[in-house]
Amino acid sequence: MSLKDLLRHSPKLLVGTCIFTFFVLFAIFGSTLFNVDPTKPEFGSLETPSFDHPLGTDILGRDLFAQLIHGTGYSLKIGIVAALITIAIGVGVGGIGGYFGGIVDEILNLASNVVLTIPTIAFLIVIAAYFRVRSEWIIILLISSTSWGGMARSIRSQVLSLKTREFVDLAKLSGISRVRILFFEVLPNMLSYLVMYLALSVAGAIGSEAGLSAIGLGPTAIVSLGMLLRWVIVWEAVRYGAWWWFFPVGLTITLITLSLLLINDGLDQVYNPRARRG
Amino acid sequence: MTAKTPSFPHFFRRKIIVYVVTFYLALTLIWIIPHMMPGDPVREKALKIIAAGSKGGTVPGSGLTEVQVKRLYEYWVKKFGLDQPLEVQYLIFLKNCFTLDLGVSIRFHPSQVNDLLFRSLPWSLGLLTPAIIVGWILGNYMGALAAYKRSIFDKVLYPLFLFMSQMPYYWFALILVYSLSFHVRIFPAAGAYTQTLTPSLSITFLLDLLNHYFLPFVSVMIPYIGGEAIGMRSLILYEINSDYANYFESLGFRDRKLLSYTFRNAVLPQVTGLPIYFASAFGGQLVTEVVFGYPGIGGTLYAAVIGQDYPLIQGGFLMIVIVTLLGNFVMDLFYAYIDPRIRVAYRGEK
Repeated sequence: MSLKDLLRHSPKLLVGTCIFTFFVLFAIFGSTLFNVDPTKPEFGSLETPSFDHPLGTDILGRDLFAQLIHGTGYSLKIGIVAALITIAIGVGVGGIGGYFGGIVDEILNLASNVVLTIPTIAFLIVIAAYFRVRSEWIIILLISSTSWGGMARSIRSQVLSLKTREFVDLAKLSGISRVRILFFEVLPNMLSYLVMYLALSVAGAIGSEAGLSAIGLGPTAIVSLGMLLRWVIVWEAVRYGAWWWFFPVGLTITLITLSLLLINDGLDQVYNPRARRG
Repeated sequence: MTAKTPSFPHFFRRKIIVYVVTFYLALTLIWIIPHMMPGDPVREKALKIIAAGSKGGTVPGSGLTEVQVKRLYEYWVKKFGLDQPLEVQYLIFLKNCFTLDLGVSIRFHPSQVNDLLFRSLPWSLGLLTPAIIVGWILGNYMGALAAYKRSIFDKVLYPLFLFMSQMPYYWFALILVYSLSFHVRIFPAAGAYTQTLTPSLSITFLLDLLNHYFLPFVSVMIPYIGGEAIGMRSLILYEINSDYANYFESLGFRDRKLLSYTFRNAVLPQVTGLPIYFASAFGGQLVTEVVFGYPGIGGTLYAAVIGQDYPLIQGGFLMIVIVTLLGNFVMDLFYAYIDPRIRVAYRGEK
């Protein structure tokens, strides 16, 4: 199926891809086209949106449009990297457990269930609270190390059903190693599923970062979307009636995660005939 | 295909192992992390207070006098055995956790962590329980409606549900405060009741309480409606397209009958998901309470984070872990007794 067919099959996929691509381009080219430092307080305080400042300024006189560009970039970066690590751990743990079985599976399955049960946000708070300086890499590692449980469990159950298929028996007869069979014969069958899960994971990671940052436990040195919401809360933007300060940030987070959800849903329609009528 | 249906005791034994391990790891983690950090923040904090206190006067920001600081430090050394070897400290910590005795808060000295948490617990439960129950009913109703009616109705509702479920809930809270408290002054912006009133069962106080309750209630409920509606919608769509529904339709039964059958099947996962959502909201609604200045667990934990009040952070964490495990356990009971299909599926065996 070509990309064109894919998009034609599902309007959801089309809309989701468009919105997501828009924000990616916005983050990449935004700072070239609109070259203003998001952290320098060099303008008037609480200016309403104008031609010079498309989204106005905050209470310190920083340009909010520049903040949004940089915030979107960092949030996307954190979301995508964290999601990739989450999937790597999930595939490793779920795949190995499901394929090899036995005591290895018992232990790995227990680990996934534990990660799944632990209240993620509370867990993140406790750990993040002890780091005085938090780079974006610490946040990425924290998010991905607490969110792979569900992924590992579904990969495991898929591997359990796939490994009884004939092509696996054939591969065994041809004498390639078990690790090779798992990663080169079994796992490629789940590629569509992995792409769908990637979309969900990126959305989840962006949300987690925003939530952590909003309570003051996000990355300390960068401007992410969550950090922008943090400033909104700390400086009480609402009490100044500065709608241009808090409205666009939340809308951006919502639209990015929403577009990823649409992509996930759309792919499900394309790959899964039962969901097509949805 | 290994058709190995797990028996009830077996199923629960596995689950209970997961809970025990989770609880134990969670406890160990909140003990280990401060010890792994360069210069043990727990001890460092206490020493910093001492150092500041010994220079005379009060400690900046903590509002403690020198005598109080000394007493606090001695209390701490005794409570967590800071002068003992590590393994003894660990055991003391575990013992304190199991007896739910978490010591004294730094920020709200001399209040006990326990007292602070149990004082804020009713506010959180009072806010979340009604909001989630109402949101659950409305969300499932609207989701089912969108799935049955389809056409233009669904085309409008579905994106709306998506938006509702994906927006950061604290951002929605900010919008509520801006529009209904700042722009149009209908509801108070913060607090659980007017500070000048003394809590009592009088009509004035109850009305005041409700007036303060409305915005936080809505801000918890609306995002939940979105999430539940999306779940219900896709579950109903799945049921409508299933073989039994097609067969039923071809037999020429009335739509109403089919509606009630599909609904009953679709609502099962929604019921079982309820306790787990409650548990995650309990830990997740932190910022809502901060935005509204609501005196619940979230607000208390936030104050603890800001003030680097580690005993209080640990206490709040412990409480959220316990609520989450309870939520999971209730969900398991649902799983096991309502829907045996899910019980088998849970083990990942087909």
